[in-house]
Amino acid sequence: MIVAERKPIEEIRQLTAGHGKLLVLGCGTCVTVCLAGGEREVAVLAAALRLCGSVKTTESTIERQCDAEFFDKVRKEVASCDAILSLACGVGVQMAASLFPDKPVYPALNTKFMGTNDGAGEWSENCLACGDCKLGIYGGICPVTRCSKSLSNGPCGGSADGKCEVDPEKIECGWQLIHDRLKALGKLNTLSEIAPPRDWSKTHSGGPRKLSREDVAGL
Amino acid sequence: MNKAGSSIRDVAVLICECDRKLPQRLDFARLTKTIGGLDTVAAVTRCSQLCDPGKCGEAIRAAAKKGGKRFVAAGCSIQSMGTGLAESFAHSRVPDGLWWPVNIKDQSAGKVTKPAATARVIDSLTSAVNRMTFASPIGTTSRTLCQDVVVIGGGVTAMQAAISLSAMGHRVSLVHSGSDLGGAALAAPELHGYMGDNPGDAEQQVHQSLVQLKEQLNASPGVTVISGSTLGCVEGEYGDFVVRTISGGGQQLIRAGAIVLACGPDFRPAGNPLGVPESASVITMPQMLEMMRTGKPPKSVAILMDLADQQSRGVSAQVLSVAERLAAQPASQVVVFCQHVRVAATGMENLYRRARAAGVRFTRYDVLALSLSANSKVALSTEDRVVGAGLEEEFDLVVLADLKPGNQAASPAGLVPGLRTSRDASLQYDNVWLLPVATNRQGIFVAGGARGGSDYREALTDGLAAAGQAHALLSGRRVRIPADAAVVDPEKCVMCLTCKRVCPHGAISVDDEKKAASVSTVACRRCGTCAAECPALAISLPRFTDSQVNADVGAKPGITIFACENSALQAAETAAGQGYQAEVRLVRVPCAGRVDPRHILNALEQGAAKVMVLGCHPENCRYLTGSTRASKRLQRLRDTLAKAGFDSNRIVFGGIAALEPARFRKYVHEIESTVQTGTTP
Repeated sequence: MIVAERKPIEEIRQLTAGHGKLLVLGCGTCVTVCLAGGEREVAVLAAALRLCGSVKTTESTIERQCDAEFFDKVRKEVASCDAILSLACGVGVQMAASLFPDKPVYPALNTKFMGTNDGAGEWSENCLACGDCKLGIYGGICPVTRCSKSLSNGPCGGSADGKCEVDPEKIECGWQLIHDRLKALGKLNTLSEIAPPRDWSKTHSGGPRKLSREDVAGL
Repeated sequence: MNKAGSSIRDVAVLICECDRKLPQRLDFARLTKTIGGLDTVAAVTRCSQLCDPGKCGEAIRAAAKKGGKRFVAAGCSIQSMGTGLAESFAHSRVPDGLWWPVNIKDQSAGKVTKPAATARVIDSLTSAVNRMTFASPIGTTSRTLCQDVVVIGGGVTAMQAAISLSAMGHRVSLVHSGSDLGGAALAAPELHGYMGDNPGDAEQQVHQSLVQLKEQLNASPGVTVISGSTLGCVEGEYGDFVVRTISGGGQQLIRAGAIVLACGPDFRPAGNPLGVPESASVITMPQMLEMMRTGKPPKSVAILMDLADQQSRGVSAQVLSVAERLAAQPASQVVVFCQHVRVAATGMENLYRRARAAGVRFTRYDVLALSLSANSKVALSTEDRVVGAGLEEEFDLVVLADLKPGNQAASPAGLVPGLRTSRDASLQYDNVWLLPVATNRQGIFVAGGARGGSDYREALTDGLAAAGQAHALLSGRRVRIPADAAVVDPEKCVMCLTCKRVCPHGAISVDDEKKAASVSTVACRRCGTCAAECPALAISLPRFTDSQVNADVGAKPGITIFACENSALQAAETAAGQGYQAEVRLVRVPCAGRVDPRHILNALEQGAAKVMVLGCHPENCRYLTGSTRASKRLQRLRDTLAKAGFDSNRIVFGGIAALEPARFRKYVHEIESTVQTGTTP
């Protein structure tokens, strides 16, 4: 799931300054689940903005802001507002911007990462969408994401007591986790094979990626 | 936002004269005229005493004749009127949910002029009438409760619980992992020195008690002892649990109405934080016990406790029992190094005195250092905190007495979904409302070692208590369940699991068929925490829906206090009854946890000068975590608003108990004294 959190409200107010009427638009999927951009957050943010300024708001939450069709429900509201304040992830904000070329669209959230929900109010990053999943080799623990340096062949010298030197308080050494898990599975020998350099062109380093399913698309 | 729900003119307001007392305080003519003039009010009916079922029934029927279908009952406190009113309305066939009590008696008490009191009462009755326009009838369902009980554990607590339950007519399955019943007492009767006048006597007492319990258990009808089995998992809910047990032979499913967890905590020797290498001269308590049974322990022994953590009374009992026995040997030298000796139980003080009399020395230390000498002795250096002198001594043997919780994953806590435990090894969440033996889950009880106890007599008492509570819960065989549990709208639910995770009572699960969260009507305690957290606004709490809470806030609310009905509301009513009339809008909520940031923002947008949420003191919230959640939620809202330039001091959280009217006055004084003129910045 995509995990996001609300921007500091002072930043949101700066972004939307000068707009008298805002459509505060929530997204009903990932950001609802991660408590950042669903109907509740829309209501709270809209009320907070009204209370702290002379802004008028319309509130709505659509199923998914990453799909154009769901915006049909709010075309009327979009037409009558000065700007859209989107509580979607960056994907949804861009979709809104592309759908409504005449309307300023502002993000109310910072999109953080793709990750797990570790319990009420806690999330962790687990996937960088590298485009070439090697979890099968690494015992189900991703070295690209869980190692701060995305190393493919074992830990660096900054691994101590299972912690990463980048932040020993919060970050576990991904390679320690990989090692421990493969050991528990009796598959440590898989690590004796040197992994070739990763093809980073499959990641965002190769530019914005597109995906097209021939059998579904274009007909 | 605070518009009326239904616009039908069908709300009747019953006003109690309270045996002619209230007409002296309130202008009934003005009251009747103003409230009667509201669009949705069909009738305003005076009743000489609403708490009298006959008179109340008469008033209900008279109001119903004038078109009243939903009722506001204006009288005295909810505590005083509650049950009687419920019966009167039920008797008159007014469905639950279609009437709402308002306390006008306390509102008009004390030094307040008649016009002012009347204005205040008009204001709150107007809110209540508005609230009733959103009301809908609340039905009831009923359910048969399985009368069987599963007791997990094989110690004295479990045996006592099973015996007692059997005597009260329940069939009991006693599930334990060992082969013999008796638990810790059977394994180490020597460690219960407090049970008798000397070591031998104490051991004898434990033996006799065990024999007696076993005889009673054998003679108890309907008790099935399932040995060599452990708890697999618990499914279902109170009245209808399914307990899965695992043994070498396979699995067994047992249906039960209630469960008693009487399994001892998995305590292990805590290891050695002093960093002394393992040796034959530094041993644990189980090893010491083994040595005392099989051979001759050496003459000079040091027993260390409280090394990493302060240890429980149970550890004190073990240490004292062992020390007394060791000191009984001729020419022995036994020293206990400790922070505290905990003796707050029957027989413990006596045991401590006996140990001292036998020659055991007690040293309270600040710093303790251990080193192994060449002659296989252990050198201990310490500073005695009491006499302030350094000590250096050599011992033949050092016993590490500290215990720590063992494997958490193997604890029953993980096998009972939604069970909240405390930070120590206890399976009971740390909250006064759960004492002595309840858990956050309806129908699941903890007793003896499972809730951190270790005393033999207490173990027996706990067994009785758990049996008694389980019996009380299951008595009646059928239970009527009002349909006012939290409700999930499956269309809106995104299955984020937030409600399941925040529910204090483990009452929420995922309904795989509906693809939505689902609230158990028997386990739900109606606190509304889930409704205030759901990010998709998919959950509502009947009687306290968003519309109803907002209607109570009303228009132009002034100072608004969301008052938990378990604490703040009662304190406020008591304060009012004592003549303290605060100029505040009181909004009744079932728990501070129900208060949604949107309710607070609504009150502020309606013009409230200040908003206060008053709940139970967080550490003893009636609904365990509701108050804490409310305070955290408020803090987040305050932070957000403060960063937007809003005076966040206009939002305040406070903890209060029902019997603290003075604290209520203090809170109101504080908030009044800081109210500034003008509205939003």
